[in-house]
Amino acid sequence: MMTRSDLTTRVIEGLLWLVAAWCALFGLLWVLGSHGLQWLDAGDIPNWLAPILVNGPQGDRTGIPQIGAALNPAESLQVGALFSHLFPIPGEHSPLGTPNNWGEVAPGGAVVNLWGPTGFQHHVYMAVHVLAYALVAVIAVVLARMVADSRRGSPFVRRNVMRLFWIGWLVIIGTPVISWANWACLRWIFNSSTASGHVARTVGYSWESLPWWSMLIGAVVLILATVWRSGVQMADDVAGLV
Amino acid sequence: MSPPAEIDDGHRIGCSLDALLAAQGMTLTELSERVGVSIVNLSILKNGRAKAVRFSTLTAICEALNCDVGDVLFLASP
Repeated sequence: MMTRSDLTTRVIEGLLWLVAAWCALFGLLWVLGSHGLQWLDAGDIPNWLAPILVNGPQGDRTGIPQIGAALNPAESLQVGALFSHLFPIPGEHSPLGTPNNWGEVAPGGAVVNLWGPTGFQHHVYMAVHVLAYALVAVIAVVLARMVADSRRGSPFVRRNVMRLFWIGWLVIIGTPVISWANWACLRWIFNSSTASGHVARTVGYSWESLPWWSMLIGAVVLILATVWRSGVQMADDVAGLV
Repeated sequence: MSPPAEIDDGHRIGCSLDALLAAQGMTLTELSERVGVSIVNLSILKNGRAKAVRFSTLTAICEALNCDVGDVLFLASP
């Protein structure tokens, strides 16, 4: 008969697998992109997911590299003119009609939508995002295995200590690396676009941009791993106590 | 007499429980019932795989076998 504790661990394990599946789905959406989904005759999928997407159906699929940029004050009036002027021009890759390889700056805004990066740039941009999803998926799977192993026996085993150390270091190192890689990739795309220098310039990567909260969680996991290691030593001692 | 199972475990304490039981004509099951310690744990102690022994366990074993602590445990030669 399943105990309440068993049920709880099974629910937690299931949720962790769900997180991993979620990451796999969104990673796939990123890889496929709008064109890929349309090619598979599944272009409506992002719209189906719209109620549960944080950024709406457009924000959670591949295709619109977006970068924070400092607007050129001298060009600010032109920025507004540029936006309204280019809006009705039909373009191949932009739903708003801007030409390929061009930055789209919202008047008064500090975010530039980059249209028409090269295929290689697009793939690198996708890879960075898929890497982030993969990182979360790997952590979720490792945690799910930890929970499953704990249900079958004692959680205080050396394997779980190593798992926690891996997760902690992955979060501490992985999240800032992905954050920086995303910024570097966007700057690369931006600098090679015709928007660069004319209407806006990229904002440098600053300490504030680092994912401090994620890194803090990673540090907490490392502390937990250290405490867990003491727990394993205590469990070993108790195991030999008569 | 059971020597320490692993000499690298950081100790040289052995256990004479096997010889004491034979001398008293007592089985491990009987001892387990008398001292209130599981057969598994007594077996661990008997085979020299225990890492620590509670004073209460030692007291109960000594009382059940009518012996002293030194009769149950010994220091093996290096």
